[in-house]
Amino acid sequence: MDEKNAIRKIKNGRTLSNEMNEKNIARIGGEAELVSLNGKSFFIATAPIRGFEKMVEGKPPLFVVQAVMRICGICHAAHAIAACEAFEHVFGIYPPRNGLIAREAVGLLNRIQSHLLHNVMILPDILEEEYKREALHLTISMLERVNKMLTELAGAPTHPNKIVIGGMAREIDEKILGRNKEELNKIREIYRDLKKLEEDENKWSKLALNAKDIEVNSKYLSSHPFYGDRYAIKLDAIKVVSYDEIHEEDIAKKSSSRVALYNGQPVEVGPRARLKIYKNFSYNGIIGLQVARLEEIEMALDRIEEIFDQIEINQPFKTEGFMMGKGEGIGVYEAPRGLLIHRAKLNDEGRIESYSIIVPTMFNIPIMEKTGNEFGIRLYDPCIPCTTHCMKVRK
Amino acid sequence: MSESVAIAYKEVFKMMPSWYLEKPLGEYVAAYNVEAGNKIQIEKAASGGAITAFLCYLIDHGAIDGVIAAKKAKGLEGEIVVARTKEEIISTAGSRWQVLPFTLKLKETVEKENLNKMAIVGLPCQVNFLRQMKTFPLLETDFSNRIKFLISLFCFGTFAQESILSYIKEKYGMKASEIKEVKISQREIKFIGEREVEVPFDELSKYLQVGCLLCPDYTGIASDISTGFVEDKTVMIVRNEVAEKMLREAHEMNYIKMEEITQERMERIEKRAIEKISRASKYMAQIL
Amino acid sequence: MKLSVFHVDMGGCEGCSVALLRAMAAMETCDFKSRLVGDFEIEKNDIVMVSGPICLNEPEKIELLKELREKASVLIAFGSCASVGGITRYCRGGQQPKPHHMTFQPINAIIDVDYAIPGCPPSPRMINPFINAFITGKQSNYMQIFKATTKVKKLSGFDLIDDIILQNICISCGACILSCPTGAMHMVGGKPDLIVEKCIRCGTCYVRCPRASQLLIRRYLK
Repeated sequence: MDEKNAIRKIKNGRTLSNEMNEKNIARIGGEAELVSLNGKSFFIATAPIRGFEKMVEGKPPLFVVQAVMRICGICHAAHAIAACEAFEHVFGIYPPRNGLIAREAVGLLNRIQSHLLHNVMILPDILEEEYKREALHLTISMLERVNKMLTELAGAPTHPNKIVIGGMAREIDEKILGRNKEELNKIREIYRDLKKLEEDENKWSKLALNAKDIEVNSKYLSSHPFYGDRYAIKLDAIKVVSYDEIHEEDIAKKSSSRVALYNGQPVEVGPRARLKIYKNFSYNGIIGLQVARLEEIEMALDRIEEIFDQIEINQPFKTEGFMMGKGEGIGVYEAPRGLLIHRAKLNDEGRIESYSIIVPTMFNIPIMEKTGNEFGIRLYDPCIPCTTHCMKVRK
Repeated sequence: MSESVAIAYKEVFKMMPSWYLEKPLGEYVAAYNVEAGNKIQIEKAASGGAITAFLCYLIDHGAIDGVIAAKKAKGLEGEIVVARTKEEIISTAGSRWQVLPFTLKLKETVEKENLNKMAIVGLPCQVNFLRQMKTFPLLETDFSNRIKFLISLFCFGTFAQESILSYIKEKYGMKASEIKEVKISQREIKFIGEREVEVPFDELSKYLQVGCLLCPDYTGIASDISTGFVEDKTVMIVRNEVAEKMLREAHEMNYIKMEEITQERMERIEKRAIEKISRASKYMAQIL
Repeated sequence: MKLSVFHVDMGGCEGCSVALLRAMAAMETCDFKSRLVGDFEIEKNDIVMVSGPICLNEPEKIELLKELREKASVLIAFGSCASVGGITRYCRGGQQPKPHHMTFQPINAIIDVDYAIPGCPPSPRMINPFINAFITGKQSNYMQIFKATTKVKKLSGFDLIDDIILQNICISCGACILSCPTGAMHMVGGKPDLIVEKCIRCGTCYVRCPRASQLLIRRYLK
């Protein structure tokens, strides 16, 4: 089923065929299939489950932070930050202000990184042919600069090891700050050009323009515009169910992912959710997701600049000397794709008794599959490595 | 290398890659005797004067912006330092008789100081690792693209420091605190303090670090320039055209004085290299 | 004549995929295809790069791996998960909805691999030199390390401690300290020590150690 037909189908609410059609979805993070059956669409994750929640059982927190960031090579820092937040909650400690805002900046750099990578994957769909090359070139050069900043501030551009329980293990001094402020300015310049290309509707493809008329309505959920706040959402309202609980068809059993619901309903999380809740975002159609992503990049750049001005040189970046012991804690963080929750329970020896992770794509699955086509799903930016880690069903 | 030597060592070389047999000193373009020129006054005529002078030339002419080398810390212990000026480089002069580990602190210092064209003076094992880091940087944080020159020192093995110091104290009555400097050459090791104690290398060979016995690399084949002390003269083996050009310029500007090396001296170095390879071969067979 | 390079991720974190994407964006000598950018057809390829571990409980994936081996002239395991297992060496299974996904192995458990490049993830900067070395046949002493790594099923800081430090053949050069992506290696009393909680079994320290890499070549090649 080609994409043009799919869009028409949704708009008119008619079914075109009774056949089952399986298709590998290209250009998303990870492996998944779009299955159409009797006019209904299913998002089937097909990546194997490495099972990080089971993997970290019995392990100490230091290992958990290093391990969980390897769930995903795109939103690595988000997992590390959520895990650190969970452990800090368990031990009852807070990073010093420098550490907290440095961590926020690193997380935002990861957010920009992730949005740019997604841009690389979706560019072929949304721009007219003649603009694609330049947009790709701008995206990659911006990405390399962001990677450079991440390497300096967080230890590595993928799997940054300076995000630690208690704050940040990298002390940022004047030299580092000066260099990165300069780098940020350079990134802004590149971004200005990229924005001009991508926000200009005259340069959009037909597919992108048509997507202005496609709506998939749902409620939105987010805990914070830039970081995360475990008190801003009702954690008890979140329920994780298996994919075959929301679909009765047999095909649903094939999926290696689970679904998260809020108050029993699907909710959208991610850039558009954040902007709708915190910034009164209004842009029609699912293409609004892409517009929101671009706007988030700019907001992130602004916020990082603000943070750079607030860092106090020669003040600590890390809380030290705390004891790791028994307890429960929750870390809530706004990953690039949306709400991310890590929940840790530690035993007497300070080792993991149970660990659960709810990733943003789990919320978005029932919503994005309603678009019925690859482009629609791509707009929601699903991340399969993250999704193939589901928590045990909680009552 | 002569035919007879090659045949004699062929059996022993079985454990080593075959190109070691053909080129025990590795690939090189030229070799010279070098000493410090008039331009740089180095008070210690100790081993290392020539290489220090060359490094000073490099930094004076902007070819590099820093040198990573060893400097004496307290007593005989050394530490790795980043030298950014001529004075700092001169203060690191002196032979290295221990492997001083590269650590994370070094990497952070290099990044913080924003050094982009560095020279590193190390032992063959370290230079081997750095060359790998330079050729195939496996980590994003590998700073090897900031390295311009890799200089290795001839090395027949390093010593387990505590053992050797206690041996010198017992046999020669020289306490560690009395030793100001250690000078290593092919034949012997001199411990210099109030008095000088010369010990033949072979006598101390049982205090070599066991890992060093497995190493087949005498001169540091992965370096740009290999340098060592052979019979009171510093020898430099130059391995590529860029290094050769730099040395010639340093010679013309009087930082160093170069002269062609004699065939005899080269053979002596080769002989030592082959000894090390056959030693490595022997121990490798035991480990495996 | 451009080299055709095809990349497939078998179920890893996609970090290696991103590294390849970043490298290939700059490389003119290669025609790069990847599932990440939408290429699914497995044709005959010059070089196939596989990242991510193989899940032995997924027959479909095993078939895919075998097919890739058939159609590739050269097959390279890219990244720690594909070469030596990496973090997936800790996987246990038991997680819903597929609790039977229990065994993750490096891909040399199923197929013959020509080169294995550890790293979590390997830096994009090494891909161009690698391909050049592969084409020209130069840098053979270092390329041999990547060949020898194809024969091992695990490589980690633990192995470095066992094979080198506990055997007393460590010379304190410090290479391992500069090779650990998580900072698990640190110097104590002049010799490396492993912070065991931080070791994710990527194997980078082992292939960079002058002694350990020498051992790898001697043990597994020739």
